[in-house]
Amino acid sequence: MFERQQATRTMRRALLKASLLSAAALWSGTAVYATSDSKAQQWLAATDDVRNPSGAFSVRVVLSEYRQSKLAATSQMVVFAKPSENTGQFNNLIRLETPSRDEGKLILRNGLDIWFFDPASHASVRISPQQRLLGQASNNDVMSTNLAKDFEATLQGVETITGGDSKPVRCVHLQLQAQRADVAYPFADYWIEESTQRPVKAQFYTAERRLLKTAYFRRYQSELGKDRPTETVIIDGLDPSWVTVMRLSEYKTRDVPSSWLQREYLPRFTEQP
Amino acid sequence: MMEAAADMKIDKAWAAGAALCLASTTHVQAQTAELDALQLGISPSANEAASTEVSDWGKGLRLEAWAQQYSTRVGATTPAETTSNARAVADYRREWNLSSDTRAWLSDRLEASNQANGQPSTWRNALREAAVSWRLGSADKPAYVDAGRIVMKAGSAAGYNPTDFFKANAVVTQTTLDPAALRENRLGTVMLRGQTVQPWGSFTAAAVPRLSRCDSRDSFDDAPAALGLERTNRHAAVYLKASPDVASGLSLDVSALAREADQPRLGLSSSWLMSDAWVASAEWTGSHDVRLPLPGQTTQDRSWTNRWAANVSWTAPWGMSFTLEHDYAGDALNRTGWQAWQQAQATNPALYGAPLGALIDARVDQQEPLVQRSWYARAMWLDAIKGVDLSAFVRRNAYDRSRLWQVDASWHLSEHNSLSVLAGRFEGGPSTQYGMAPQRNYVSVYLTHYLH
Repeated sequence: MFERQQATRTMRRALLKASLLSAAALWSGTAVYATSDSKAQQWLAATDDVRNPSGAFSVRVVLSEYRQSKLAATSQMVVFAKPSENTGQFNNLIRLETPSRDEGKLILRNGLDIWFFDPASHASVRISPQQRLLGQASNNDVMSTNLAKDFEATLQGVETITGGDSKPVRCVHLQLQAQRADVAYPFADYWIEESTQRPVKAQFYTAERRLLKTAYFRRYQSELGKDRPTETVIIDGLDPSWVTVMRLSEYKTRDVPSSWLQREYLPRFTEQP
Repeated sequence: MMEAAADMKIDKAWAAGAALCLASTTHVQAQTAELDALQLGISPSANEAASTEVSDWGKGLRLEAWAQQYSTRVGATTPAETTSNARAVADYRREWNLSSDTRAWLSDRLEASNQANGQPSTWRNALREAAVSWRLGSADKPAYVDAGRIVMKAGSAAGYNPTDFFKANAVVTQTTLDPAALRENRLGTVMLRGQTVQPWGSFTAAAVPRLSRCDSRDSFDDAPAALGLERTNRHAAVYLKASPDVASGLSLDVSALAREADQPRLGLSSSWLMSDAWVASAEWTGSHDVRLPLPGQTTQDRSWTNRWAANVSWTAPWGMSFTLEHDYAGDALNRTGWQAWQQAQATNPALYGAPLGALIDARVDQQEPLVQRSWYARAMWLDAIKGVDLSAFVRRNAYDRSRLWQVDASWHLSEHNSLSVLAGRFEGGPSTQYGMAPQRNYVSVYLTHYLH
């Protein structure tokens, strides 16, 4: 009886010690890195450079949506992106190609404005950033975005996590907080490979810190002069069996005239990739 | 005592440790699910690979097969009659780049309908658009000249677009009462149009010729292959629209229309991004209009009237969108006027039934409200349940509270096929706007096949 009590106490003390050590490790991580916000912002900007070419470009995106490991839907689109001269943030024009019912539909993001154009109705309709048109992947997941323009980053420490290729990767862990109300995700965690500054994993949260989705960046290939992720695996926060794989290909440097980014131009848009 | 206190501390610490372990276990489970997910899409499956190859054959062609059933009101005491109908549709939209600066497009809808009650089959073709466009100027500041039959739409509202000046009489066949679908399936207007897109915004000017001598809706040509120019080009007109780039998150269209046999009309349309989930829209038009007549009246004086629509839309975090809109048409019947018609029709249906029916039909054709104030609400949820899109709307007369509602569910069976179910109902007492509609309920099931 005494031995069992003793064993229980020993186990409790061990757990207490483990808890305190974990808390201390977390605290020390915060203490070391919390003051390094400018450094964190640099990490975020560096990873933006890995994900996005520097000037105007186009890229083909194929979204494959899986439910319970079975392919449920696919869609294909071309994204035309151009950094704004004023803000440095990308403006995007997406032309949907498949499925057939969506062919020719356009989504334009110019600054705060997001417009949806349907060639059948000839109408450009303003939509909110929250409105989803592409299944699980939000408009923002598909559009090119410079995260450093949208989020304030705080360094959380260095961790070894499992990357998108199921291998351990030593990463810098950033915590991100949206700078403005119009940013699609209020909070995010971001893991960047320490040695290459490549994005490895991201987790996006609601304002109430509920996990919305987890994204893994993988299949790095040389595109427009740099190794960039050509595949992103997006896993739903509530239902991990709901997965979208986003494949990027056919990166091209190209002129994106400013007229393309005007809503009144959308009925005129006929450009092929 | 101290030992007990120490034990309590240890218990709390144990609980904290256990919670940490539990959290850690949950984290491990989540990690496992994520790692499973990462095994997906290692190499594109045959389905995915095929989806990247787009065939040109049949591009732009959509086939629809409809089975419809609706019940018709016969009288206050007689049971409703049920009618069935089968419909086949070939819908074609295509555009071609003839050269780097020249583009042509064609849009057409052919419908064949077969009533189950022994009536002969009918068919109707609607040439919606056939036009050519030339581009001038630089890519950053282009200008365009378009000629042909063109669908030109305007307005930011959802249920009623008072600034959509070319909508009157443009709908030839109706398979659904959804305003979004009515905006798609309508005839264009023959016009010569110029547009310039500049860094400050856009400016559009259009000249519409008179191509028909038809002077009333009673003489519209309903032949199967009729072009319907008397519907769209009965009067010559000039249209101007400026869309300046006013501010981020705010859009503005300023428009004007001068049409023969009518007074000049001004219009404003705006939309505003209020937050990441809220959007507000409003549009207004004003002109010297003839108000709708009261029972027994044949003529009405012109006076300044306003028409407007204002709405707010909210998108829930799970993706469902809701829109609530109030519509106002100053030339339509106010509460007193509508009650006068209701009373006249109830007391002397032989005398007032036909004029009221004609008045309602004319307003439906013009896509203008019958009464001054009405409400419109819409809910839409894309991919609500694994590949199923849901939408519903309700339109409500603000005076007699009668309403029309419709729900629509579309199941995307595959890349090329969708199966949809549509159901609607006119609700209200026998003397109300929607209660006196000939139809009571309608249900449609239709299969859509995209040929490429």
